[in-house]
Amino acid sequence: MTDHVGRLYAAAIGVLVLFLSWAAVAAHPWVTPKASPQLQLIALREQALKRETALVNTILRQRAATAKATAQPIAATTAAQPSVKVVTLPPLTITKTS
Amino acid sequence: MERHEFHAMGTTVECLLDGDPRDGFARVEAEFERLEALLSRFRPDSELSRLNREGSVEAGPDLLRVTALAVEARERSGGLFDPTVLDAVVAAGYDRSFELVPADGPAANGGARCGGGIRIDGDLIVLEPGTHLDLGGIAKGYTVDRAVELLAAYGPCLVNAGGDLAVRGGAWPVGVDGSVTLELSSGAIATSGRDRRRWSRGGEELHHLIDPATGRPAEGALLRVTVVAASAVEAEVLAKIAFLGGEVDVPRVLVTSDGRAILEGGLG
Repeated sequence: MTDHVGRLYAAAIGVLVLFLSWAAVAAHPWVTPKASPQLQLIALREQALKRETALVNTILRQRAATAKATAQPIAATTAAQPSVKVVTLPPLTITKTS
Repeated sequence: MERHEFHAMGTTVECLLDGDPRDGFARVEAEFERLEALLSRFRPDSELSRLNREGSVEAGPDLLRVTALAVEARERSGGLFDPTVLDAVVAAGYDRSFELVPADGPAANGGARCGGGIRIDGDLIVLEPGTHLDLGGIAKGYTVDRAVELLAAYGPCLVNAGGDLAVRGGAWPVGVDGSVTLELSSGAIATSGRDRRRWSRGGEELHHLIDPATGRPAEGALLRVTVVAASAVEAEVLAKIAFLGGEVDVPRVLVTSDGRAILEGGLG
């Protein structure tokens, strides 16, 4: 009776070990999991957006530099105060309604 | 003294230079041509015309700067200076380059609404629907300021674009109204008035200075106003404000309808 019970336990353990081994082999743990096509597309889009961001930042920096260079002479112009007095000299030029 | 004249922006531009011009005059001419191509309302391919057609535009630095100056002037003057007068000036009959405007014709349409919204967001200029810009009241001054900066590299100089003038270095006697001469050693002078760009429609005398409150050519006791300011842009704006009855605190010569010249702002 004791031998019979022992054999039953051994058989059950054997079946369990066999099942676990089968599950482990079926999982292919030595193969790298393959990313889904959607994830690949998202990764590509992320890279493209990073490149576009860098490009936009470069263009913005260039435009800011151009605008600053343009504004500087005008700022210098408006900063100067006019100096004028009435004289009796003959004029070199005349002003008229523009 | 070197003198050079050329035609641009519907007027004669005069450059005076106390020095060797080398390529200075050519550079000034090129700058006038470049800015006229961008800012003229009479050129369908100008950046300004595109803005007026499309209602918004990614503007270059010049249109952006001039529009910003015009908006600032409108806010500062409580709306007396207004760049949104295009529809009004066209309704009055000034719908093409001035030398092509017929001297007489049938009665003009009524006035047009002024004061439309202008939004500047980075490089983007957006106009409120139905709003159109005429930068004629400021673009010439802007160009004169740019030109005199260019020419100053060659020596003391003066640039006079049909009455909007600026100087750098030296002392320049400038005749105003045939009765007074102002010696300008720094800054700029501009004149606004109803004695030049004028025409007749249905027997009514009209001119190009629009009162934004009525959307029609301004009426008043002044024939023209000449002001002195730090820059040609500032002088142009202040001359229009003074002509329309606004308070300005700069040297100025007012000429009344009966021809009397009044010197104010420290000139008298």
